[in-house]
Amino acid sequence: MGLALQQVELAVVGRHLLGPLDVIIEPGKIATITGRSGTGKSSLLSYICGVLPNDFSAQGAILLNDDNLTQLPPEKRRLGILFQDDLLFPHLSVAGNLAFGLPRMQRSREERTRVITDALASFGLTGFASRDPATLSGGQRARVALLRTLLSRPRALLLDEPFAHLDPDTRSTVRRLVVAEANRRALPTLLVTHDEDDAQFADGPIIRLRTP
Amino acid sequence: MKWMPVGILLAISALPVGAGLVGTIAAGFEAQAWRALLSTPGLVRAVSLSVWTGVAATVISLLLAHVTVALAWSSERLVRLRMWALPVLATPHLALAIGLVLLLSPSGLLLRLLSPWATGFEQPPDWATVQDSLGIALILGLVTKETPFLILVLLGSLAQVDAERLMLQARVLGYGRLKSWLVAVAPLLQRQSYLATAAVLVFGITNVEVALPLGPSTPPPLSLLLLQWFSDAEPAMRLRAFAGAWLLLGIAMLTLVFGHFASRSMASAWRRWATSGRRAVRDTPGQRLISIPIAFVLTLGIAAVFALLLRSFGGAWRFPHVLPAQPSLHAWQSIAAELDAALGPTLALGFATAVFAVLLVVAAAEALHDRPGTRGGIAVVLFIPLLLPQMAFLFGLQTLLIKLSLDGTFLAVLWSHLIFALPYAWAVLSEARVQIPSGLPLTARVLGSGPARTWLLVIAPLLTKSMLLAAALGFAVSVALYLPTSFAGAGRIATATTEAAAAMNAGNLRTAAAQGVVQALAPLLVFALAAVLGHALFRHRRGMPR
Repeated sequence: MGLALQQVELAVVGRHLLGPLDVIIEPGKIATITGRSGTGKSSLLSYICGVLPNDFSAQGAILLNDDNLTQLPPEKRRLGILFQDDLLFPHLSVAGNLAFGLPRMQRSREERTRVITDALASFGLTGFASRDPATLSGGQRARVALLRTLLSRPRALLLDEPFAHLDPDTRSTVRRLVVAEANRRALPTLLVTHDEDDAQFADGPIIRLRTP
Repeated sequence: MKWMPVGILLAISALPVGAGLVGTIAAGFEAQAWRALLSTPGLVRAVSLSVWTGVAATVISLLLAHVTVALAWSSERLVRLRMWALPVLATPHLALAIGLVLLLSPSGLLLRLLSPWATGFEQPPDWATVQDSLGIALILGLVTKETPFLILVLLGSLAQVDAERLMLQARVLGYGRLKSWLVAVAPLLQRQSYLATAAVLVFGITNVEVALPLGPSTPPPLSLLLLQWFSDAEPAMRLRAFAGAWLLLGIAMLTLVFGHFASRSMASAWRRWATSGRRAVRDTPGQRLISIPIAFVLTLGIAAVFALLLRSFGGAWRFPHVLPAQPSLHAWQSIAAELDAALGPTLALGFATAVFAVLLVVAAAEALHDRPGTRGGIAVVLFIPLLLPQMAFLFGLQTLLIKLSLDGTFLAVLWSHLIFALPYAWAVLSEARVQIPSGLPLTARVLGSGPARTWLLVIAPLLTKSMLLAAALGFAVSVALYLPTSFAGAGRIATATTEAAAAMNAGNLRTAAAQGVVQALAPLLVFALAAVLGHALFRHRRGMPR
């Protein structure tokens, strides 16, 4: 059970970058990968999601609850990822962004609206549904991005330095929220960071990458 | 599969241009044609007139455009500048030139305003204020049209240059405002606008649209000679036109090469000035004087559009009356039938060009959004038709179309218009596609959207404004095109542009003015529509790309 990487290796334009890497992350646990920039941390997450850029090549298997994801297109993997930039869609309202991630299990418009309203309330964002994402503060945007990911019912969570752009206060609030949600939903979580503090807070196995 | 849209895009542009060029060159490969060409009386004068007017107009326009942008940038006059430039920009070359004739000719609006109270003229004087043998009016016409164009190109390049910080750096080092700009920002803008400047130069040397109303007629510039020969029923004359197209291509390319080296040596002189250490802190009177020609050129353009409107709304226009007789809608109705016949094809071609250009370019830009190298290559290939004299490939292309019996069809004309609309659409849309952060579509995919849904729901909305702008540009390009329409259309497809040129040739200024108004108004309305739509959509989303 959980998220497993087996013999994962990455190369960029033929140059070896990372691996071979073997990791198993139990549900609700957070594994942390640290290392300087250029060690391929972010590319590893891209590979797990299935959105590795053209000039990269990779091998090795990605298993989720004994389901082999390696060959699946990104939209079929049902993973959640949070980046350094919150990447909210600028042309959609806050509610629109959340609805984009919401699966079609909730069919009727009323039901979808209710789910979104409840979710916003649970994150302290009551009344934000129709807001333009461009008018939110950094912390609010980070919370909307997390909510969008969680509402899409991911089976595992990937975090690509999602706290790096936040100021110290917001940072600790958002970090606590992310860890709590990952635990509560029993999501195997992989955190990429170069901040030792983040790694300590995650309280799980730590994998240190060296410069290739 | 992925490369198919790119292949189609390139084929649509390069195939007819290449085939046309080969056709023209093959047909002109005839000793007899060359002998006839070289024995044409006044040929040297025609060639020098073409080169002189093209080069002078380009140099003046470029200088004015640079200084305008430099002066306007820091004083927040850029917005107003865009507003002033837009009517002249949207007005096609031919219409603007007709407007200038109505304004500047001895019986034109300008002298009427001064007569007889100031000049004493009861009859238009026998002056050569337009179609003068030195080509001054032609140069003025080109400058009036190309200066706003180059201003807009420079403003477009401004988006890629961090002008604010470069200026700050230069100012902190103690340099004056204008010198800071000319040293720190202008060279970067010029590098970005290199191809556009080259296109202006080639157009200046080889155009028909401005030369027809404003250029001298005895002898005319080379381009007009070629057009006369090519439309001659005599096969020998047509042959001479093919050889002449070689000559036109040759002088255009030679001037381009010469211009390249001249700009290099200008750059080294500029470098000496830039590194001399002189701060030029205070504005000299000369700097202030330079805003006079700029204001003159911008005013002239607006006045020409106004003259066009005035003339089209009136009946007989006796000198020295300022207003034509019965300036009313009634006068318009009398030529409404004529206008109506050309309006349909004009709009149909404009909209079809806009739609196909956007579709073709969006598909190719999507395929290439993560390949910057290839994207630059495509831009250059698509731009080639703007760097060649149109006649150099249109002569051959028409011969080819006749062989395929495609001449005079809507499809052939549409295709010929796409050749000229695609470079603009590509410039706008490929850039806009790259500006979309790659994380947005990736996030959509990870959230469970397939590629098609991701494109439709994330990429397309973010491209909407640019698609509208590219469509409006495509429409404006199509409405303005004269030679492609009359060649590929074989005289059977009449648009406002071909009708305006025909009326001008026949000396019917009033019809020419009315068709010119249609030519100017249609793109203006479409630009306005695109702007309003672009503003209304996503009005409440500040984070949208502009």
